[in-house]
Amino acid sequence: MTAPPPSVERLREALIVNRCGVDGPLTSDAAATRVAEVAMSRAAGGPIALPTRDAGVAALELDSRLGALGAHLLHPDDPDWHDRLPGAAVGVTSCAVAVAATGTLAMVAGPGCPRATSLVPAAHICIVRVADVVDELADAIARFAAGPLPSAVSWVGGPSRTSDLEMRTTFGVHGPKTVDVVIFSADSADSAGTLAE
Amino acid sequence: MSVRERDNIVTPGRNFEERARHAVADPELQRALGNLGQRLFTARDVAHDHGDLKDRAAAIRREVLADLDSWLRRVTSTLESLGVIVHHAATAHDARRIIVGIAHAEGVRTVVKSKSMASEEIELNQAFESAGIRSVETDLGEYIVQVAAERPSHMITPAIHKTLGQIRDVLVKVSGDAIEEDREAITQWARKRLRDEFIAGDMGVTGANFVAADTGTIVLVTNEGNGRLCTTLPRVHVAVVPIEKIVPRFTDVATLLPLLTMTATGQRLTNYLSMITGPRREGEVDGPESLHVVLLDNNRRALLGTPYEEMLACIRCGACLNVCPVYRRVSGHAYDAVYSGPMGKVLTPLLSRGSNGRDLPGASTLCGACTEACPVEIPLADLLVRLRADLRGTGALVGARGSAPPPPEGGVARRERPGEGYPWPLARAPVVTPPPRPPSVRSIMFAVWARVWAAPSGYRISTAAARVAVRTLAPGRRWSTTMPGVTGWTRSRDLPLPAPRSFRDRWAARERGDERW
Repeated sequence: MTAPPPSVERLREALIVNRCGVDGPLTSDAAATRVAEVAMSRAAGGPIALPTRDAGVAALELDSRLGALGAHLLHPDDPDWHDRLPGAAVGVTSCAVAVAATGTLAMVAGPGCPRATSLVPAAHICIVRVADVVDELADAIARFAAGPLPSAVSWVGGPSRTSDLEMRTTFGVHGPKTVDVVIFSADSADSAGTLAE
Repeated sequence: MSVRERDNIVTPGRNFEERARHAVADPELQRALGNLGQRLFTARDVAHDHGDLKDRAAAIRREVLADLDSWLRRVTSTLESLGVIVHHAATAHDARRIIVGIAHAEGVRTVVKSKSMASEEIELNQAFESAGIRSVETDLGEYIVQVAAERPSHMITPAIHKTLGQIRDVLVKVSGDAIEEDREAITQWARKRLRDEFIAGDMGVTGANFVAADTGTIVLVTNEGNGRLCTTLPRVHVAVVPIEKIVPRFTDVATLLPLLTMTATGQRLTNYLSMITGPRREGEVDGPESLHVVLLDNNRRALLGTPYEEMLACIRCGACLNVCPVYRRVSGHAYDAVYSGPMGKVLTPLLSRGSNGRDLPGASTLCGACTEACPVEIPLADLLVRLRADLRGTGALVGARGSAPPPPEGGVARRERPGEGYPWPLARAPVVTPPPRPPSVRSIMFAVWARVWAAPSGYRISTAAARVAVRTLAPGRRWSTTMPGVTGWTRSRDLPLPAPRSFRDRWAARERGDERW
């Protein structure tokens, strides 16, 4: 049975230092269950914003999972998305690439994947595919440089923070107050081993 | 009323010396400045652990400066191909006119701003205010400074000069809300208050940490997320970009970004990075519908090809402020300038062509801590020494391109001739040159001193005479502060009492074989 690659362990550690909640690596199925669980608990009955064309959200079939749990979902193609988004409690996205050294998640904007989903709600849940974990920032930048750049790449290390008050850090000043990361491997054989240990 | 008159003067005084004296005597300011202690060794640690990164970053910055005009043309065409509207602002006045013009044309009522030193430099908030447009700073520290009607005192932590109690008092006064003197309470109050502003904002204004010439990508770093909000929610985004912010390749960001964030805050990477490549695209539901980039010159191009060109390599990390023994005692407001600390002492006279901050290069111990801390290897101490010399007399910057212009009649403002190869219509800021002053007693003293010491005999006789004079006329330990005739210069500079015998005497005795040498 294969252990997760060292970069994934490094990512987990860096994200924890950055004050993120971290789960995984899990199988797709376990990850979907975990994301739904965290989303429902963070939302506490409030709306959950979901992108419509996000590979990770689609892979984990989160629409149907969350729908089955009776979640109140908000999609970017809803006509009143703009007005309702500020009231959303949770935003769920996946990331295009995650930097292990710094614990940074890079999210790409595009049709069906608004920039605001990971920014405006008070809680952000991010899904990370093991295959998208790289070691250093330079590796992630090289990936983006290889293709046409999207209109926005938003890189997130953890909950919003400031040290403007006497140089002591406080959290949740503008962006999300909590960031929960669920790491999964599409290749279930890989992560089943981890789970069994 | 000028901005300076209207601003709250935190540290009053007619010149740096008076303001420094005031700052040092302010107990609240000194208490607040103590918080800067944790950044004292940040830059040194980066230099120690990431020397190679520093060298590579310094090289990238020089690569751009060596051919800035070409890079400007390149970045302009790349941005335009992405649908970005590019403006070239030769002066701060032009930049204000362009940006207020965009706001009017787009029917903007509320502007949300992310912290940007370039927008401070062009005094953009005042321009919006005069035009009847509401402009709200959204970085927490910058918001505190804005509602207090002050200037930022540090480019990374703008409200470092305030204690928590002072911050609470300012926010209570402006809002009428009951806010506890507690960091969490203040943070959550600000979140709620500023969130409403973001939702109402029609236009987001940001600076840029870097702009890549090959991809047209604008890179912004923040920790709070306000930079992301300013570039996500409003329908218009204006980025004010000083021309030296260009980097040749998008991949250069992988070198410069970690260096900037490690030196600025000690973080391996800031909490948020935004990389923006053009406006909102087909099918997207957020991001700005129109994206404007204002490329700001404001006397920067005039520095190219001069020894001061080095200053344009600056990435605004604040490391030189954090390590400066002067800044750490007097704080940013004593400089009475947008840019403070060592980099401000160099940049303020340069960007104003010698009309502002003439006494700032002298406000330095030349200890070299700034040079050592600089992540892109700018020789700040050397530039300070050069500026001291160049700002003497007529004040024309002799090192600047095209040599010093002749002093205009009566010291009035004059316009420079347009430079060659300038890619847009040129209207530089007027150069204010004060009339030449008669030589001071001090300059005569230095001239005589230089003449006397040019010959070994002059040196020997004068030092022997000085030793006797000092030991008989002013025999205290702090003789230099009481020595008649020179206290104007020595009041704040102490010198040890000269030894009874000179080194030269003792050496000669030793050579003679005298055992009591």
